[in-house]
Amino acid sequence: MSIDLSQFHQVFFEESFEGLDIMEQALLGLDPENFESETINTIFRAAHSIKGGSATFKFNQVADFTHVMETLLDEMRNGERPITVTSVDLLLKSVDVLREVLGLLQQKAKVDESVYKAIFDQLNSLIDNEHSVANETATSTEEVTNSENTTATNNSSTHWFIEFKPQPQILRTGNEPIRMFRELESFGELVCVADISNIPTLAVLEEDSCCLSWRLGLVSNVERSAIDEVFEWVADECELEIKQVSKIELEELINGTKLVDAVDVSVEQKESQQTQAIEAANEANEGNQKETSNETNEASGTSIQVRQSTDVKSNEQVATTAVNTGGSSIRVGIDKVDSLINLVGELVITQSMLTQVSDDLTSANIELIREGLAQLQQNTRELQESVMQIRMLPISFVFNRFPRMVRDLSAKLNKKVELIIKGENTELDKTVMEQIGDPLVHLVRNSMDHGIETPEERLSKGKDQTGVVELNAFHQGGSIVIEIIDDGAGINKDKVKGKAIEKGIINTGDELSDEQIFQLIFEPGFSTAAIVSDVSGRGVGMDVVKQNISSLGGTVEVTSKPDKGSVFTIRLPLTLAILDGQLVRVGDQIYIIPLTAVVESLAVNPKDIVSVAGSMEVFKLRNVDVPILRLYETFGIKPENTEFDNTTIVVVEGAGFQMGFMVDELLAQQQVVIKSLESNFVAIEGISGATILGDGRVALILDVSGMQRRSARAKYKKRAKVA
Amino acid sequence: MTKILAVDDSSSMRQMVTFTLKTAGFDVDDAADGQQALDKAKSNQYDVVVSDVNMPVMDGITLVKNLRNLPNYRFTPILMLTTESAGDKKLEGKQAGATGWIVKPFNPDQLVATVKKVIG
Amino acid sequence: MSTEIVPLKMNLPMEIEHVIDSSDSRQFLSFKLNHEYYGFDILKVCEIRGWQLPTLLPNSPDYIKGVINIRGNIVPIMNLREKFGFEMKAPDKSTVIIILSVNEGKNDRTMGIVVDSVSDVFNCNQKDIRKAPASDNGLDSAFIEGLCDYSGVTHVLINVPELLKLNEISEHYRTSVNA
Repeated sequence: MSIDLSQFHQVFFEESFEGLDIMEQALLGLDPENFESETINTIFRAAHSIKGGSATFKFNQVADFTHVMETLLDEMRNGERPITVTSVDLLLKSVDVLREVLGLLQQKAKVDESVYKAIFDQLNSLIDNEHSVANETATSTEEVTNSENTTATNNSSTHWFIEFKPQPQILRTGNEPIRMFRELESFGELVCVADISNIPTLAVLEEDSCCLSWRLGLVSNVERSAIDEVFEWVADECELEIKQVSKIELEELINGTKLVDAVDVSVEQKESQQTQAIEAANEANEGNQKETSNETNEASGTSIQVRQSTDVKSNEQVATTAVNTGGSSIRVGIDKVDSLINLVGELVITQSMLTQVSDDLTSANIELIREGLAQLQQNTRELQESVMQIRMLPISFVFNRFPRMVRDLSAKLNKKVELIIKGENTELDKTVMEQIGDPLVHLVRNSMDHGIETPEERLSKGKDQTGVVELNAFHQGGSIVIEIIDDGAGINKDKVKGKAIEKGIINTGDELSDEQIFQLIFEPGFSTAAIVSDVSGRGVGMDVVKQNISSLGGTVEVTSKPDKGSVFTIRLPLTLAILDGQLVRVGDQIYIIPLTAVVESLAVNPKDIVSVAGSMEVFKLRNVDVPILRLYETFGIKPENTEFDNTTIVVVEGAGFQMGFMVDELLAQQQVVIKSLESNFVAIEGISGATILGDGRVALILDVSGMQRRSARAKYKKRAKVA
Repeated sequence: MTKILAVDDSSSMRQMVTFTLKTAGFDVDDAADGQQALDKAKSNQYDVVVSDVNMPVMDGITLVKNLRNLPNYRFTPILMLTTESAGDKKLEGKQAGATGWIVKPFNPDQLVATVKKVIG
Repeated sequence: MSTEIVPLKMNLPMEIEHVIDSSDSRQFLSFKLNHEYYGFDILKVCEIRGWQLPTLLPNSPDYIKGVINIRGNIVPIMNLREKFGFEMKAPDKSTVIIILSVNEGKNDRTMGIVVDSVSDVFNCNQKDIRKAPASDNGLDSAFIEGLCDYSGVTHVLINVPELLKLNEISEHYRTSVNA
């Protein structure tokens, strides 16, 4: 039988990456002065697991590398080696190396020695300083010995005399002489004689002690090592003599006195005596015993029979392999989850279709159908929620990379930074989490680079020289909110405004609220750092951060106070697939506006509309100026109405400010399934996706902040033209 | 059918051992640490136990000791999976009552051969 | 003497089954556009649907008419007359949408193409496909894979991946949205 081990590779990689994360976290939390032994054990076990798996699955480079790490860690947990900052740093670097190597292996790429050699050598030299390399050679010889073919052939047959006197407790370790003899038997011809001289009386006999010893004669061409191996496990609890003899010597030894003569009968009798003794004792215990088949070695004429009772388990019991132990978890393939989500999506569509059909019924069944639909709606919602839950994971998965990052970065920047993490158990969708990592990293880097001042500067301001960066996550309404807070220098409003004017993003005379000024840092091409710092400015930029967050259906805002610090607030939807939407009609087209973005919908009196700077129509809503976007104009649709008397304004809120969309008619509010436009087309700014309505038609879902961006650009362009 | 309990905190090892032994025709249950294994051993009767040494909650050596205290497992073959090269871990295992050991890394055939050796 | 190619009467929508055959012979779906005959590689054709009004995609290039729903998938619709610069024609009973797909990495991307009518599926050996002379039909030659005769009529074989490319559309959005 040959088993293809590659089917286990993916699990091995996943668990190894998890193990590396655990190692890293534990290492970061390791304080040489004051540590818990359990922490070291955890690190050791993680390395040990990776070593075992990598060796089994033949990833030898990883195995060799982790073996050295394991040796180091073993010494540390045994107290043989002190835990120093240097060794912890080296282990952290080793974790990085392993991540890289495993990543390459996972992609089936070749791993060049250069990837790990430097750290590998450092690890080795650390060990060699105090210990010899004897351990390693021992391992290899051990492994070589064990993988040797036990039936190594040798042309000539040898006669072996084996005297085996086990200690009484041998049975208590589950070792059975019969099994060993059977194994010997497979090597060639075996003759076995038992010595019963030490069997006590039945009254004194302990059922679990072995009082027999044996003399065996083996004729075989196997190597001595093969015979040694048979007794390997019991070598320390028996007297064992193995010697090579001539044929005649063997016959004499076996037929020596004190032994019962007729070989086969005697063995059988002694074995069964022992068995009976055991049986008698075990009956009371309802012991479990196996039924073994009888083997006959015709050549030697020895038959070793063991009669044991069988305890057969019923099939039902055998079938219960998956015992649910409450808190256990399962790994679910993400494709399964996605197809579940698609099914739920279809349910939602069917449900809204039924709702639509029921609107036209006039029969008396209408009430029943309505009730049924309400029930269906309830069921769907619950199903949807529990399915979404499967995809939800705690944000700690993403937050976990920050302690390391902050530690490394603060060293690099020569700043003292303390990282506080709150709300790491807050859950969010797995896909959102995978994509929010990079923007978060950029924002934290930005806070550390541009926000937090140097220790000297902080002291001169009367602050503690250690700056604080806080990551906080919590649920609010249907969203998850992530805050990145720093107590640094804050964002310089004037500098930002000046830069924006310079870049032509705004005009000199523009009136902007503080929020709007801060929001400018997310505009493309905006970077106030005189030299784009290697840390946070490498072509990534705040605009990309904002775009990434927008593409997840989220928003990012920032507030700041000079010398007090800044707060970046990211809002993300909890689910990516289903949305509560407001349907609106513009001309003959139907659009969906996410309800989370809708402030209110109203008819506006034409008298309340003010035209600003000749291009923008604005009305006042409770003291706030709300610009109006004529959707038909933006989209190039033939409108039904163009006058304010006959249209509705849907006031929406996007990235920091409000806007009013002019529509012909407000339709229903309903839950819609979000379908991607980009799977078969390109992304359109202002459109976040599409959905399928109850009648099968496609309706586009508006992205409020995208629409605001478009309109803002159009406004500035218009102005530029006018000016 | 011979029933085996495979214990290892590494998911991939557990899967590999389970799959290998099942393919060889055995009935296999698995556990991720010593405590889980002990609980399962109490509610099911296994003919062989194959266990890793280093595990959280309850390690392999402690598991062996606990198993040997159960009347039904006094003579059950218990094999330790170990990467320990030093002899002392093996000795510790034996002293705790283990039947023998299998050194990691092992290939599937070795595993099956060794298990077959102990079930007789 | 050429046989008249009759528009196919069929029950729409009709899904196309692909039978992979190792011979040198390729199969094409014959369709008519602006009085001329064209062919799509049948392996790239998923299904044929009747005409339906798509949902508009704002600010799209004029040859993109919008999107339709095909079993839960949002599929964009391209009007081939407009794409090739021929005069517009209102859809009639024969107008069909041919759903094409191209493989891009892990996924297949689909697009519906509006044509005047479809007829047969015909065979053509690879060696019988001849290169189109330059500026034939005034079409961008990138879209033309070659010419092949069927039933005595020359068919222009369209390069489907080229036709379905999105970069021109992306570019359009990039520049228009900033306008």
